[in-house]
Amino acid sequence: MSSDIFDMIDEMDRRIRRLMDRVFSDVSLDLYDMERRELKPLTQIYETDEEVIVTLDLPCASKDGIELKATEDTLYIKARMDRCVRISNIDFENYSKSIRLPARVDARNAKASFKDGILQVRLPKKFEGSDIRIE
Amino acid sequence: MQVTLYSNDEIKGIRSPIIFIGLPDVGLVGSIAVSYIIDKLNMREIGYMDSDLLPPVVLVKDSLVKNPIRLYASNNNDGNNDIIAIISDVPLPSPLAIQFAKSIASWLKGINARLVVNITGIPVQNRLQIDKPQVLYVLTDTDGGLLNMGSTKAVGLGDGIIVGAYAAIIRSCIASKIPTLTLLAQSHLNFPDPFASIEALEVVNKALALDVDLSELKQEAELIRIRTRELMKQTASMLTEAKASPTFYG
Repeated sequence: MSSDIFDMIDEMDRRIRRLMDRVFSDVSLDLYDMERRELKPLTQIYETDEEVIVTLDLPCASKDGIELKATEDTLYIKARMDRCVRISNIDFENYSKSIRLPARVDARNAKASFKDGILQVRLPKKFEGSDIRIE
Repeated sequence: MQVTLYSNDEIKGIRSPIIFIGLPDVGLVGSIAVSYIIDKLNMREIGYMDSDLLPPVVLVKDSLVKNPIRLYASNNNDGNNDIIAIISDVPLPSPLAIQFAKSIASWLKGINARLVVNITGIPVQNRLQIDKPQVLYVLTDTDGGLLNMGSTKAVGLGDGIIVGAYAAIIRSCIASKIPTLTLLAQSHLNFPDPFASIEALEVVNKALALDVDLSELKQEAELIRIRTRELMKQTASMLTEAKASPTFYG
C-alpha cells in the first residue's frame, strides 16, 4: 500500500481531532484518564488575600477513601469510589488529580473538610514579602 | 440565523399544555429536573429544534441518534394535564438563546400553551453549608390562577435581575402573552446539583398539583452527578466565556 493512503488517513485524523477540539474543547481530557481508568474530579479554585480554596466534586467517594497531599504549589488528590461506575464501556473506581495552585501556600497548615461528596481544601498563602518602612 | 422547530403529528393531540424548560446552566438544576420529569412521566419524544448556531453534535442513545435540543410530550387525553418538556444537551450560547426563545414562544403561542415553567439555579457561595436549598420564584403578572405558590416553601425573588437564556425565554413569553413561572434553586455554580433539582421539583409538585415521585432522584443523585460532569464542564466553560454570572444578579 502506498504511503499516500496513510498520509490521507493521518490528515483525516487530524481534521477530526481539530473538529472535536473545537466542539468539546478539552472537556474529555480534563475529566478522564482512560489509561488508568480514573476520573478527574470537577474542580473550583478560589483565591482570597490569605488563602487558596480548592473545592472538588467527588460523588460516590467517602472520607476514609481520600488521600490528600500538598506541596507549596501543587495539591494531589486520590480518592476511591464506593462503587464501580461504567462510562463509555470503561469501569472507573477512582478519582485522581494534581492541581497546580495559583499561589505558593503553607501546606502544613492546610485544612480540609468533606461533606455530601464535596471536598474543600483551604491552604493558607505563604507570605513571602518583606516589611517596608515608611520614612 | 434562525432556529427551526420540528414536531411530529402527536403535537396535534396536545391541548393547552404546561411547558417545562430545562437548559444547561448553574449546577445543571434545570437539565436534571426536567430530564427526571420526562423519565418519570414516560414522556414521548415529539420533536426537536435545530439551528446553524448549534455545534455540530448529535447524541447517540441505544444506537439511536438524538438531536441535542428535544421536545417531549405527555398527553393525558383529558385536556387538562398535557405537558411538554424541552431540554437541551448542549449549553446555548447567547445569540442562539435569543433565537431559541423567540422560536419557542412563537410555537407555544400557536399551541395555546397555558404556562411555561423555567427551572434553574442560583449560585450561592456557601452552598456546602446549606442542607436544604431554598427555592425562589418569579412570576410574570398573569398565571391565570393555575398556580398554588402558597402551598410551597418557595419564596418570591424580590428584587434582582435574571440574565441569560431564561431571561430571553421570559421576555419572549411576555411578548407572546404566555404566563411564566421561573424557579431558582440555591445551587453550586460549577458542580451538578441534583439536590437543588429535588427542591425545585418539590415546589413544582405542590404548585401544580403534580405527583412526580422524587425517590429515585434522591437515590441516584450521586450517579447523576458523575454522569453529568461533561455537560457541567462544557456549561461552565461557556458561562465563563460569556462572562456573565449566569442566571441572577441580586
